[in-house]
Amino acid sequence: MKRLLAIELQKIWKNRASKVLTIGYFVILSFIALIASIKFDIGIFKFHLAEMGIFNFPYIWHFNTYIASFLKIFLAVIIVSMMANEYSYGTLKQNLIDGMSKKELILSKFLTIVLFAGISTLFVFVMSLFLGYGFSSYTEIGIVFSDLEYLLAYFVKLLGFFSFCLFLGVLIKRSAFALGSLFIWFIFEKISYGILKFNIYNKNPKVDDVYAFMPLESMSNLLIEPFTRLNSVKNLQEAVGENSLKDYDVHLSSILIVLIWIAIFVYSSYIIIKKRDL
Amino acid sequence: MENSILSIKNLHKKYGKVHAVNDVSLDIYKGNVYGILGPNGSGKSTTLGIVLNVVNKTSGEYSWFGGKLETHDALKKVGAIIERPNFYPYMSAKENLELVCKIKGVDYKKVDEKLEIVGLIDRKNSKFKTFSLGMKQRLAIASALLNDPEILILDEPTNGLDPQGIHQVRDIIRLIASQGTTILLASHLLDEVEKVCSHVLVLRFGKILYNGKVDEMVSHNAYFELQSNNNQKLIEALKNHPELDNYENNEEKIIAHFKTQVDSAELNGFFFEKGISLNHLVKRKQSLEEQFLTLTNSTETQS
Repeated sequence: MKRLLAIELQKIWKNRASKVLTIGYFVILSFIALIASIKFDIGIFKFHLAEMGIFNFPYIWHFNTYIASFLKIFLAVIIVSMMANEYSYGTLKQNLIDGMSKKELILSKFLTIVLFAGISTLFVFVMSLFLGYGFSSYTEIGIVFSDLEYLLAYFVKLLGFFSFCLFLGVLIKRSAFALGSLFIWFIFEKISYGILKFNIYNKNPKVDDVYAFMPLESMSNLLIEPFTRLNSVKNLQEAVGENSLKDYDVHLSSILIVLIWIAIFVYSSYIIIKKRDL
Repeated sequence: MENSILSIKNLHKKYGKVHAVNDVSLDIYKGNVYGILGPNGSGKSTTLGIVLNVVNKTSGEYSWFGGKLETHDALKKVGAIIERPNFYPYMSAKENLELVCKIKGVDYKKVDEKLEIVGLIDRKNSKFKTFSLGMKQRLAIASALLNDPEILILDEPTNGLDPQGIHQVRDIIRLIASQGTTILLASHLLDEVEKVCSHVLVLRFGKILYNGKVDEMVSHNAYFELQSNNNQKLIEALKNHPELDNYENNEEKIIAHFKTQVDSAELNGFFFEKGISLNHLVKRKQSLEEQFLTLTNSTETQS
């Protein structure tokens, strides 16, 4: 396993574009901390994000993982191109000839994805811990380490998204086209959902139940947007008479669905490599 | 068989309607230099692709080292380069070879040793993308040699190289062959195979046309060039020779093919008895190139 990771990391780390993107990703990730410094003073109206409670434990776990998950596209580009490059350089063929098995090849890519997702999760965990201790109104251990399932959801979400990218890279062979199809699939899920939900089935909640099984929708269901959960926003909503009873929890069922997608994507990647004449 | 390195039995590969490899069988034993000869698109690379685990066979069998190892483990004891050199353009020569070391499980100290053999030690820190084609091909050979392979498989190793590059690559191949490494060389260049190989497999449209030793293929069709002061009389006499297959009157010289092996001295005596003194008598072996054209043309006219 160490050997496979070492092989894959050398391929990524020696590539300047991937290296810059990886470093850029972590730098931008740490910029989440800068949200703390967002401050507006307009006369008597004072707006200081950090003091609105976004960095309160345990809410911070939800907020930071949600914001951090937007940046996953950076690593997605690296993952798609690491696969597509193997095709265009002819090194996929060469690696096999040099004695890598097809299973090892996919496993080495998958381990890299796990590593990326793992490091991202660890990074967000440590950063949130620091931010929380800096700004949170509550710092009791019991509260600090509650609701950690958001981190697990974040990890699974990244893993699912990256597996999807890997699969597209294996299938399509060209990074630009693979990323393009990812985007088209995203649009397809959204539009077909909109049409089914609002035009055909007249807001029937069953549509949501079905779409919870779609790959991208299931990943986004792992982390629901945290903004309307903020006390200040809630108060505002109640004031205008909208009662939100949104469920912000991480559900085991959503995690399971994404795990199944991960298995499908990784296994199909292997089947494609196995069946294809390279 | 103890020394069997690769054994291919009744291999077939179909791409849709195209029968790229049709019933190819081949046995490779330790210490010989084998050639696979055929025009472009005759199934050479496909056959190699199948045994190298990158192309899926349609039917048939192959086994490495007597079938004791899984293909990918067997390939760790094989060195192969196919079609064009495949490396990561953004890595240096050294880094590329170190990556191959990681895959094959070889010590890094082999890197410098093999770069020395192919004469790239001075450029080891240059990025692969800055290399000329000849250098890329030599790096590919260095990479294939990293694990001190039991067999070296080369597919069109001199394809696209300039004469100097061809010369360098051939020298390296000869050096490796002289050290007793088994080599399998696929090429459409006949003199390349003739110069380097001891055994040859001739392919056309995926089918085997000839499978055996190079000398036997060549000596089988020896012919004579004859000339005397009176060629007319010579032809008359030649027609009476019991073993004559056919002859051509090629301006000054007469080319005579015989059904069986005929000795030069014997032939000279035969003419002398008839009162013809020859001023030119040469026994020529058909070059592999002519041989190859005869083989491939005869099937063309058949089909």
